[in-house]
Amino acid sequence: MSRGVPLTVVACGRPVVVCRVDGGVSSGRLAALGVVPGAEVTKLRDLPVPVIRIEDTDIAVDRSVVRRIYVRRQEVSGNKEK
Amino acid sequence: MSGSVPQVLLVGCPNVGKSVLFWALTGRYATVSNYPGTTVEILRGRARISGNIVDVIDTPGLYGWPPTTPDERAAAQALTTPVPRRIIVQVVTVAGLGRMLALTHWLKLRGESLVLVVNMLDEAERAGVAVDLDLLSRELAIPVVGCAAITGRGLDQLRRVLGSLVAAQPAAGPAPDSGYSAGVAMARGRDLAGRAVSRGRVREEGVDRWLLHPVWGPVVAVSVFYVVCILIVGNLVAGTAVDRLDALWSLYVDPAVSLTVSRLPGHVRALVTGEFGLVSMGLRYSLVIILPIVTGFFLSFSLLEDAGYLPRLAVVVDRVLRPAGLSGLAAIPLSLGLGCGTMATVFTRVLPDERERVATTLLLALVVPCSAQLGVITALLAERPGALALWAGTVGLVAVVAALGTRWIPGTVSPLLLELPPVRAPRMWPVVSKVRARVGWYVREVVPVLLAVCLGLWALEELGLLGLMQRGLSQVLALACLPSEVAPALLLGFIRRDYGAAGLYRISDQLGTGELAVACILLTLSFPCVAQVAVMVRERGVSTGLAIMAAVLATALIVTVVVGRLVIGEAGW
Repeated sequence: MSRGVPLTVVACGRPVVVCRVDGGVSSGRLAALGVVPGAEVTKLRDLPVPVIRIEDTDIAVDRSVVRRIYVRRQEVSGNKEK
Repeated sequence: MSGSVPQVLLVGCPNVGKSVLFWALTGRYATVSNYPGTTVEILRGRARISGNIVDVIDTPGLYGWPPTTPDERAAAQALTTPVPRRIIVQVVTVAGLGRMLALTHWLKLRGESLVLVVNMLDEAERAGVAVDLDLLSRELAIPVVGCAAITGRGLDQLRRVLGSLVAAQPAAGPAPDSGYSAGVAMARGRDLAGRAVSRGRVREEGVDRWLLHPVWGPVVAVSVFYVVCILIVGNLVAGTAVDRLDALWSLYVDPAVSLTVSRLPGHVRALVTGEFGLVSMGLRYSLVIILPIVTGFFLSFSLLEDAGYLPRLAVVVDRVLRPAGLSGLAAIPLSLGLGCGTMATVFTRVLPDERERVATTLLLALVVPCSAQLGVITALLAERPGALALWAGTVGLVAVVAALGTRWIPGTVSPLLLELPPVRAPRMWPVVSKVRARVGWYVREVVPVLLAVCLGLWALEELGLLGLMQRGLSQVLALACLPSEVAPALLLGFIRRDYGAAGLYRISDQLGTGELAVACILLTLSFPCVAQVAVMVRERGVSTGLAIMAAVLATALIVTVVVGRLVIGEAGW
């Protein structure tokens, strides 16, 4: 299992899977919104602030927080699209 | 408390339609209570379920367990308070179902009598998303009801389910949540949601492409601001509606009241209809002038809130406010302050950190003029463009310096982390209920303060102390090269900010352009009105509230004296 890359460097519109979320003031709030390891997220935009979608919910997140979310590309076997 | 009346407690994330469900269940019998000490309103109402009367309670949004924000703590407190006969209705939506189910696991572990309502099914269907309610009910082993509360769909089924639970209700108290792990609950929720929800197509970003656009986003924000503050509240309400109502009041109410009290002794007459009379000033100001303005603001903001625009506004202005140590969310109370600073001070509750609340309260008190004051000041200075420019420039400069200065207030500001609910056309019920609750708050909390102030002023006037205070103030004004005639207007400005400006209006012919501008600067910067001070002390606590007032007063005096000496003293303007 790779250590993943920060969500900031991933292209918008591509679903990725969260590997880990670095601690910090926002990790509790992020977890409450479902951003925990194993969750599938999609970054929708970078400007004016990053917006990520998780489970059909859009969340605007400060760039400093997005930098702490590490993700890997979704494996084909884990793809639940119907 | 209501003894053996069963309780139905609505819980769930923000924006899942709890309140709509609340109004649908309780209908017109609902009452609104504003619990002191809690951050947002907890609504309480009565409903008839299968012939039984039940208490229905609506709580602020709760994302999951454990709670992480002050708003959530209010809901958490309602959840953990033991109530003998209680049914918990957890409201969820298909969007975000996985994380919401984590709370379901916590509630189940505690052994609560639980119903899961999957709300907004209509929106999910429009987005091409289907959910298997039977699978959810089987796996969770609790009743699951699909609803679209806004259209009434599923409500009969919910009433039936609640009815059978009320009838069967055993008095088993909730158990401690031993062995609960938020991470495990989240993973289980996500797994179950993954099996129960099937998505047809990926939802587009939609209108956010414009609302959050780096260029068009700010354009939309400024346009919305212009329409709400200038066109609706400024021109339509403060201009037209208030003028007409005030004329009607002078024509009918004032003469009628004067006639009624004409035989009473002079002191009593002054208390009712005098310069600071309870009716002539207290009721007239609170009902005829401020009530229409705050109602206009409440309505506009509730519409924007329900349309889902306010979080987008916060995102757009976040980068502008960050250098001042504020987050984008602060834009909401700050722009509200242009309507009514008192109400805006209460709205600082939307901010997650106390530090940001203090900074915003300070800015509201110092540099944000309320709509009534703004209206009179612009009218006062309209014919003297130089004075208008001096006033706007000075207040603007102080605003920027003060905003940057608030960085030194201790504490941290959380990075932006904000859910963006779907943008939709505002719905009538939620807007009506919010406006009703907020106008109700104004009538209960602000009107009594204004009446108390009238009483206090009347007492000061009767004791002859008001004149003494005015003479003291004149000494201070002399430092800023302002004539003593300005003193009464300023004293009134503390009671109602626009009242002060109106006082200046009466004597504006006797004042030079520079004197007028400097007086307006002092009026804008110095004390907010007394209702706002009362709310400041209540919201921020006595010591912080008084510290803010001291900072505001010191800044106002220093700026006024400096500008006054330069403009009036040196330049002789």
